Amino acid sequence: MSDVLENPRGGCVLAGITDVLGAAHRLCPIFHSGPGCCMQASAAEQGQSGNKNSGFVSSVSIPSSNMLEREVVFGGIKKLETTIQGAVDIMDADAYFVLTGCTAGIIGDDVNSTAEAFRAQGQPVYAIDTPGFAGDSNLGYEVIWNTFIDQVIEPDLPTDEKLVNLFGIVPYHDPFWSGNLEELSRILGKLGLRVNTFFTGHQGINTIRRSSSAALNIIVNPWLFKGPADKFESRFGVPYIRYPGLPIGAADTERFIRQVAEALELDSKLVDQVIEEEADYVYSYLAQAIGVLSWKRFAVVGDAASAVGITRYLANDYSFTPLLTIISEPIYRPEDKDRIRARLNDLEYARPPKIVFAADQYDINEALMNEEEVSLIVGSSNESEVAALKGIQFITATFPLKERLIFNRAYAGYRGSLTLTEDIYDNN
Amino acid sequence: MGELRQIAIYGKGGIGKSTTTQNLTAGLVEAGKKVMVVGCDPKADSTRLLLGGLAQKTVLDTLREEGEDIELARIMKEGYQGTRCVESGGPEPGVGCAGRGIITSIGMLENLGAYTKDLDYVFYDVLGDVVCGGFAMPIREGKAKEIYIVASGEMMALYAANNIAKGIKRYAKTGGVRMGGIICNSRNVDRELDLLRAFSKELGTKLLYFVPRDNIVQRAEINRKTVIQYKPDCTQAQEYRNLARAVIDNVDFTIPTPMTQERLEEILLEFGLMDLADDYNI
Repeated sequence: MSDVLENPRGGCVLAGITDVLGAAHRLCPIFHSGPGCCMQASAAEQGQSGNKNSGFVSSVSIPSSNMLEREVVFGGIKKLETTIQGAVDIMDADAYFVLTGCTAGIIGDDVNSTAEAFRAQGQPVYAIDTPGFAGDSNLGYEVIWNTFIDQVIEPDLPTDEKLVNLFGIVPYHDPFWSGNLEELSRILGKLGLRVNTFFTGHQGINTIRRSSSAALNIIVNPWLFKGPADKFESRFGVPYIRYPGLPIGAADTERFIRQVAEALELDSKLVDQVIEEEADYVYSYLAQAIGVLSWKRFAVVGDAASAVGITRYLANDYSFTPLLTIISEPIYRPEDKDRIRARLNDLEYARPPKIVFAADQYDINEALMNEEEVSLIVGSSNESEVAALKGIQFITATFPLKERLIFNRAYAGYRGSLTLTEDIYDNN
Repeated sequence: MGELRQIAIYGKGGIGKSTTTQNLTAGLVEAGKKVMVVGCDPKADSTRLLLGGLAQKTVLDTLREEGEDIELARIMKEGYQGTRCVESGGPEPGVGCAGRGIITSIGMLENLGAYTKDLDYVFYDVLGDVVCGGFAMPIREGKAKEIYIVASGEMMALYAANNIAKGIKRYAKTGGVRMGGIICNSRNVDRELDLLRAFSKELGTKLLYFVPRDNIVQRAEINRKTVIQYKPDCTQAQEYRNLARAVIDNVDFTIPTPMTQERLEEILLEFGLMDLADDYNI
């Protein structure tokens, strides 16, 4: 088993943090790092996610202290101070976050005190101490939320019984994040709830600040966000539920709705009515194209949330045959792997797929090549080569995704499942 | 119980920080205090006298071998009279970055919940010279608020103490860290007491305590014990008890005023050139 990872998907901690700051409204990252990091952090995530980049500030327009040898030897705090001052003067943002690159992390620059000095002067500058080398972009997503919890979110707000926070869909790391968040918001909205997605509808620092007034945190992911959710609960008293995957299609979205409804004790009549309406919407379209639909044996390659969601939709709702599901992100805790396996094994009637945890592209390609009967691959841009070699049908649905432009296209929920189905039959 | 006091001990390499810290800790636990000692030196020898040997697995070794999901009990051992002992550890000589190691190790201690409410004192025994940002980690926000510098009458010890004071002054401005005083670990240098008193005053602090030189310290060390444990009724044991009392009662915390090289040498000359026969004060 090699120590080399071929084609890692995503970037370092800074990439994950930049995902969140880039997707929320008017938040400005300030990189305290070497000169290339802001470019790389953006390219690794935003650059391969449906060709949508942050419109506020991204890659080379991100303020950076550009640490060189002098800063390594003598410390980079002075340079950081002028960088922050410049950012505050020139960038009209609602809040600024200082990220610590590998260089700053190794020499031990005290970014916390620097940010505090600016806050003492009334500037909304916050420091994130975790350096880039601490992990991958998934960790970055958790780190920035820990920072929000520690430094930004206001405690002691009265609870709004109809407000929920949605977590687990990492912007840019899920190429369909905007549409997915909008679709799930739409559905929860029909249940009478207001949803903090943090990344749609121009939600920004104020939404984050007041997120502690939510009645419930909903994590739409089989394994991410455990630490921050526990922290959120112990600090602000907001409980959380986890729906272990992206809900795609009528069957899973109903399960999702019922889980939320139970946690919030929503009126069962309303819940049933919404489910009936939405299911009717989906099935009435499916019913209009039954004749053209063919039957496939499929393999899915993607991050845990998407892979689980897509596999279950195609198997349960659509009766394609699941042969292989590859989870293409590194997952460390055994209980997380167990949870994902349980989700993939718990299909309504099909034989469960082979489940492989492989982040290495060589291993992924091997697993796909060895599956002789596969006739459809649903994966990322990285799987197009194998699909071409095998001469079989292939669509991109997971990260990284480079060949398409994605604005608000969704694959999640009720309407997303129709879009996913349309795309499978796109013969372009 | 009172508030937790977090104290960092700095001083020239080899001056006696670990020895002094551990002996002082023995005095504190005898006085009924609950103490945690965190060794911040890659040599990982800050808790040898409290644990009776160098057996302790360091935080960074454990991290390297077992990953991040570890329990506090793996890296914290109980020593003499219940003192809690942690060694950060670090890379082997000649490789890696020890400063970064200190940052990682202290961060891990925080995450694992080592700082419990029942603690009275936490000591950070930091390696000789604050050569980079990492070794200033113990005096950053939220950790040690009090610093004691261990020095002797030797020139190099005072140079180092003055230098360290510059680092403290920098962090005193932004954080809440303050100097609590100088602890003299005597080397029987001529007029050491006067010299240390004058030096401390010039540095904007005070001489907290003068620990006399006594070979019993070395004998106790070879036997892997603090003096109080090794020979509780000898005079040196009482010195350490007095030092503990001085720390407990200390309320003078200042921002140090490091001096220029010229001024430091003036002071050294002033006390080095006096004739032994005259003015010999004890």
